[in-house]
Amino acid sequence: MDYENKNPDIAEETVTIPESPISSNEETVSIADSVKTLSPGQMVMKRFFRSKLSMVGLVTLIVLFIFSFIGPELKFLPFIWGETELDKSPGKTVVTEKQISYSYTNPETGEVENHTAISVSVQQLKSNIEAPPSKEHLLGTDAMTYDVFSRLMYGGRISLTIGFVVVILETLLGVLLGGLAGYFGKWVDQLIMRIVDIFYCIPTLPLMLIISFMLDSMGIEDRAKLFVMMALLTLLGWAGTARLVRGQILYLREQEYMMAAEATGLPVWRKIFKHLLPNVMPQLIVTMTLGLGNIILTEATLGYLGLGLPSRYATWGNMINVVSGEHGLKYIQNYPNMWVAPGICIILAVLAFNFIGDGLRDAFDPKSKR
Amino acid sequence: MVKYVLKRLAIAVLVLFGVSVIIYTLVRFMPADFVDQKYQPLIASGQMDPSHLDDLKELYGLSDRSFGGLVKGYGKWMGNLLKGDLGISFYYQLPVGQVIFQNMGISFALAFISLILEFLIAVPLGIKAATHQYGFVDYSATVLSMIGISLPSFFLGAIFIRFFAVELRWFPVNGLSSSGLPNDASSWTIFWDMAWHLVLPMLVLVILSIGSLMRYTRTNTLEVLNADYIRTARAKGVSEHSVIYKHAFRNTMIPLVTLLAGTLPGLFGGAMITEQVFSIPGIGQKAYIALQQGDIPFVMGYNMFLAVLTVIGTLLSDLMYAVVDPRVKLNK
Amino acid sequence: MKEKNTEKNTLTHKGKDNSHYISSKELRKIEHENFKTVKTLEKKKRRKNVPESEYLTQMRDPHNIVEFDNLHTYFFTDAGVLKAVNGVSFDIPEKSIVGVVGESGCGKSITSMSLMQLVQAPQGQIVEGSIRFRSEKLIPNGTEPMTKKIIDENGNVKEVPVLDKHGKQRTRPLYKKEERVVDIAKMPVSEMAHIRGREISMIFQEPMTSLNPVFTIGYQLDEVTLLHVPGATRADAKERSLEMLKLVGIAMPERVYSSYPHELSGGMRQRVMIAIAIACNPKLIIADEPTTALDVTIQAQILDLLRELRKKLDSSIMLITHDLGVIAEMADYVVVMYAGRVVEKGTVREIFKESAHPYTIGLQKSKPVVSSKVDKLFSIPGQVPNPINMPTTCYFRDRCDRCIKECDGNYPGMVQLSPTHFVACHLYDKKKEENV
Repeated sequence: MDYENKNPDIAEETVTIPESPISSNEETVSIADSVKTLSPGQMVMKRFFRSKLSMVGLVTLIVLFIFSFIGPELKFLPFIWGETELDKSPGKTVVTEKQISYSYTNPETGEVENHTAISVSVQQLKSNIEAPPSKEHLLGTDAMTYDVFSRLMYGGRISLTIGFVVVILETLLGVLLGGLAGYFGKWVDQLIMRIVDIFYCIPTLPLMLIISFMLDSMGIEDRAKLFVMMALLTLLGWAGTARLVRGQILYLREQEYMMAAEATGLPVWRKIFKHLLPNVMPQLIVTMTLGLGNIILTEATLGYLGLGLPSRYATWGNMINVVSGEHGLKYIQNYPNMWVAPGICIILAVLAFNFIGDGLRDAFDPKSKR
Repeated sequence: MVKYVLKRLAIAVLVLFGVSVIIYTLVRFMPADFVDQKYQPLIASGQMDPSHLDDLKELYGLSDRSFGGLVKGYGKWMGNLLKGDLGISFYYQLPVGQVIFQNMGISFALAFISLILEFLIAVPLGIKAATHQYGFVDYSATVLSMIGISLPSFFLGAIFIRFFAVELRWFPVNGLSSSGLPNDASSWTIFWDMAWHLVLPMLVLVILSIGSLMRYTRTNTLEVLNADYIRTARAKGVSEHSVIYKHAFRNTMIPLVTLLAGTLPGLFGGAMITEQVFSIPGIGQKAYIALQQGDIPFVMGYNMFLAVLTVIGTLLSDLMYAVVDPRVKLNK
Repeated sequence: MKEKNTEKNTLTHKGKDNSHYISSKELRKIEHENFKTVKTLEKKKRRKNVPESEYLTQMRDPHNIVEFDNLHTYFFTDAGVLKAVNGVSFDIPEKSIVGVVGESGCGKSITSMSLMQLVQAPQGQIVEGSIRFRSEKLIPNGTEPMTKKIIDENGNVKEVPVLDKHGKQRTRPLYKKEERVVDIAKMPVSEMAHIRGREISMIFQEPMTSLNPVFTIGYQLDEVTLLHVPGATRADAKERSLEMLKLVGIAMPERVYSSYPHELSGGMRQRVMIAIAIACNPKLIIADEPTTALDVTIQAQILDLLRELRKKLDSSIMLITHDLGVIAEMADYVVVMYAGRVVEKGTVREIFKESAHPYTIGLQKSKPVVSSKVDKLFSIPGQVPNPINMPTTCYFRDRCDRCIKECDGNYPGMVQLSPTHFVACHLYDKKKEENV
């Protein structure tokens, strides 16, 4: 501790810098002005950037974005394949053993004997199915000869896009309806909140399953299915946001500054957009970030159940789908190269969003101690 | 109080009605219904005359696809429901209620034990993290809980199977009982065998849910520790341990107890994905199969069961507030 | 070293850019320094088995019960080191009321919090100076059989032994008090718990939030007795609690005893807080703006109560307020604080009749007086500076209307005007020389 020699320090300082503005400047600078503080924005940014975890999240996310959006464009690299590009090169050699039972009449005894023989066929596969990791296929290929590593990138595109689109849509819907309910109250509030209740009570996963089965059997076109899925996730997700916004607005309406806004006779839209929304923003941004992770998880779950996009499309969930179903155990046991990487991608993406969301929440919190 | 509960119940009935309408409409719009799915192979192989299909549909009440038919179907379902009859499952060929209750046991056991473990681990950890804010415990608990939140259950399940069951052979891969169990095994053996099978799924459930509860406890404890009355307690000379585990803890518990009520649907409704991954014959897996088969009565029954649990959970958590927090009085 | 850095920052920054905000490089530096300092201090505070010799000390004047000596309490914030209490020295004599006045944010509350070791850790730390306190340590001294008084059928009061569940007479441990002087600034946290609530107690500004909402008043009151009176039973505690509630003027002690805080009004809650504070006959009660949050009528009642209690209990009171009227009425001695420093201290008479410091005079002028009619109420121009990066001159210089040449120099030292009257102002430097 240097507190012992604190006073000498100060004295020294005043001596060595004779042109201390405080003692010599003509226009005296008041003490209050000499104090440096942090601007509110700076405070938020600083708290955010200080938290190591949110930085880890941010970096992870940027890496994932580069990986999935720029990665597939680097076609000149030998290990970058198209999303549904088949590898027709001869694949691995498969040795199949077959037991064949046959009966044989012994010419000497004349008896019929039952024998089993093992027929071994060595066959090189015509296309490169389920190849192990190699220089050309960093993570091997799957049962369709698609390159797992490249599909990881395409999967990222879809998962991240779905995440962002859905979160933005559901926030817009939630803010609109929650805002209406909170601002106008009375029967508008009653009506909207009952709808919110209904959506809250509908079990999400079973409903998603029902609709996915429905879409599956209707044979909806692939691209269209992507949009339907986004719409669906939005529809199931807005209720939470609406509840949050309504609660916030009810709370804010009671605050003195809203009374003041009321007293000055501002038009309604101005009150909502200039005074209410900015105050809900921090919470909303946090919910959105955390929600992104959740949407990616839901989408992956559907993919895992084989109910998301058709398996031709690479999504992280679809890629893990191999471990479910009849032959699941075979893949779990023998081909971790096919399903571990997409799982890790999902975790990384969700974790990144959670870290960032958590960091933002701490950063926005005016009560935060650090 | 009674009036409040009655009002809430009235609203709940309204909400449940809305839920049932939405689900019924959706289920009925599933293009390939149960009859199609079941008999398509027979028709394809020429074992059945396609004209019989319509008769069967008529029998199952699936023939009328118009709006009127929908309303009529819903009305019939509602009428039966009011009589306490959920109908008979197409797929399981048993009353829906019976299927639900018969398969609930194993799901409940799984969820209940996981829930207890979750609280036992997460709450002390959350308090510890809050009292040592920004310390080592806090950071590691935060990171681990975040990872827990971010894990997809199917992926964690697959990893566990790969590692603990396939690689190390500590636990069985899936199912609920070993195939090698002798027929005359004592009930104890069967019980232990089942418990042994449930370790991995339970682990998955606990790991997945522990994170959010821990974070919640931490945030709450932090908030409470900054309150004025904690300063008062310290000023009275209460030891730091008692400040945290008596004065602060009682306040921290308030939101946690209400959280408990919210776990109701998960407790009885089964964990669909986890049960699927580990092939555990619980209510979740049964529901998944029924969904696949377009089993309308079961899907309706199951979803309504979950919705009712959600409504009761919310109501319970509000009532719990009044019980734990002396400040809250329910009189709206 | 920290001071040097921050000082330099202020100076260089003035010349180059006019931004009021800290650059990220400076931020990192502050952060790093803070982390290091706080960690060392916290470690020191949390040590176990600290030898007594480390915090035992001697009083300068045996008639004082508390002596603040050059106390520095700093907050290590992101924007720099906030010197909330910056070299405060004053005494609290036995059986007296010492008023501490000043504008909000001048360090009054932090001074009292330092005395209780309740400064918000880890940012807030006592970094220098000492707080000497005449404490009484309890030392076990045998046991005594427990008895209770009952009224028998004839209406006579009779003492009967208290039996435990095995039918044996219960005993209660006896303690003798041993006086010793401790330095609270150096005391480990665990030892401090024996002083808090028993020897020094505190009444807070916010009665509405200062009671734990989930426990009954009775529980919270009993707790003090159970903690600090050795061998007290629940029944003893309840008896004592009810007595205390009666003492603070609560009409239906039984009912209040079993109610929850939210069922009481603000004034009632403050009475309960006072009851908690006096439950162990403390030698010093710190009242931190006890009436600020209350209605005017209740304020008077609470102040009367405090004064009355002081007489009954023979305690000292450290009364923190920004209300000069309260001080004039209650206090024996007054300490005027400004921006973390004591600018003037003396008896109540000296401060009000012979006020010396321009700030004290300003404070008095800004108090509206009923008898005089004025066009405009007086107020001291400007506001209390943020105590980060304070200049080396007098802190009040910018707001002072009596500045002289010397005011551009260093911070003024304390000048003694009478045996009890001290002031820190360059106007009185001459007097100092005369005295010397």
